[in-house]
Amino acid sequence: MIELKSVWKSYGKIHALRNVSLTVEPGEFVYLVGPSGAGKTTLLKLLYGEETPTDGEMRIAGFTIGRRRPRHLPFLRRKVGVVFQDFRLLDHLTVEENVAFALEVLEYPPDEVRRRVRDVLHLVGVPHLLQRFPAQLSGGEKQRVAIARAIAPKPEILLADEPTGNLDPDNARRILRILDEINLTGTTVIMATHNRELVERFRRRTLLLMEGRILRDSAAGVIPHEA
Amino acid sequence: MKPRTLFRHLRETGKNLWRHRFHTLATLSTLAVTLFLVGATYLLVQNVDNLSREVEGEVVIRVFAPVGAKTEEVERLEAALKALPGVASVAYISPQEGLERLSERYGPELKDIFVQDIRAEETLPPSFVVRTSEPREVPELAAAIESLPGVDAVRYGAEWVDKLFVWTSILRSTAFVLLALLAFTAVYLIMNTVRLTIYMRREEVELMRLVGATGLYIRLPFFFEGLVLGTLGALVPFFLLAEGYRALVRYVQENFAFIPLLTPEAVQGTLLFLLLGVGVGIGAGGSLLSIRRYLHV
Repeated sequence: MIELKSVWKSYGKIHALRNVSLTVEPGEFVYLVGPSGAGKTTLLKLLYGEETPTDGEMRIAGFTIGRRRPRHLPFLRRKVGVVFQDFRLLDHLTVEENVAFALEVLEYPPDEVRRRVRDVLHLVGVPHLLQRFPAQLSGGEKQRVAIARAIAPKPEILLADEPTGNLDPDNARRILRILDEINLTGTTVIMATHNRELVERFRRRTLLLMEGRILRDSAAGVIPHEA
Repeated sequence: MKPRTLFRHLRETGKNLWRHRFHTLATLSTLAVTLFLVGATYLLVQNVDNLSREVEGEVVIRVFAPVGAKTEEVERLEAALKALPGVASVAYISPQEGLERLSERYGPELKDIFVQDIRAEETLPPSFVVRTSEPREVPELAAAIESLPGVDAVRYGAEWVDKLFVWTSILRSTAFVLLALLAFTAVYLIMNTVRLTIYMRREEVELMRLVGATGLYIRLPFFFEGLVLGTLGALVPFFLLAEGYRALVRYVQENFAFIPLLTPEAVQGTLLFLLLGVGVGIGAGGSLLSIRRYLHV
């Protein structure tokens, strides 16, 4: 599903990722932890093709990514959903339109769009918010809509960059349960987080990143200790 | 591309143009003014061309015998003309033929009056149309003819034909420079309008990229924006010019029938083609430049 071999990512003299090798099997749930600047976001950016590695080789959902910007990037992105800390909803669109947006730009037929929008909003537990605008939603609700949008095209991989960073503990746990549920349907989930409480409460495979290296790769159930 | 997608793009384009309608209006006005001038110049140059072509065909010397000249006098003059060096042909136009030509030129309404009420032999002189083998020798030849016996008057139009050619070419090059400048301005304005849309829609563009929309899909509405602006900017001046020209031709026909203007039907098609072509070209050029520079997909 995901395979990185000796991947480096450098910005000038700064090495954001150093010799990272990693394999994630289909259907896994992986936490990415580590202090700010450890390279979590960079790693996620490589996984959804926003950045290309300076060196090394990667395979993601059947696509090979080298140093050059891949031509097939749009098709990779259709297999990889992304959720951000700041939600990135379009303020002038309703909840329904926000989720539909992702499907419409991929040219899904209107019936299919309507059905999927209802399905995913139901899955994330906000089917009643269909006609609301983002400004009328709480942080937790916004993140659920953002997740709904990310999973609407049924990606094989869901990447989440600090999805609970702006949320209170209750909402954070709710978001995690939703990600868990999505994972149970077979979607590979990779979540970067600072939230120790969540990592300890919902034990999963955990990668500890420090200064661009994977310091520890612990199987589910083992809590990595930050160095 | 599915028709639904195309429709979606066009709707999106319309929304974008409406969202910054004042900017749209400013761009559209500039484009319309530019294309109006393009069209007006085209009509002017076409007509001057037409006029000079008619006149050029008439770079001939018209030789008039006195009204009521006798047949042998006319025959003697014809022989004398033919004997002059540099003369290519001499055609005799009887007073009757002269009258027919005249009445044709002044339109069907007047024709009856001409034919019924004017007695050619008493009104019009017998005349000759003399063509030279070398148009530049027209002035000298005309002078030579004038001194022949039995010649009442000699006319030729070469002098003002030359002037006409000079003025047309000045007009053409000035118009070309001016229009090129205007066209550049229009391209620049369209580029900026599209840039504004790209800026306004940057979040949507970012999301489209994120969910895997293709580059073409993302770019198309911005390209359409330039095309729509170009087309609208061409249609407005086309209708103004077409109607305006129609009115002008009607006015000229009624008041200055001797000025041979091209008919509206003869120029409309090309005018529409020209304006749409230039408009769409400017629109497409402006939006493509903007997409290349400001839209990163």
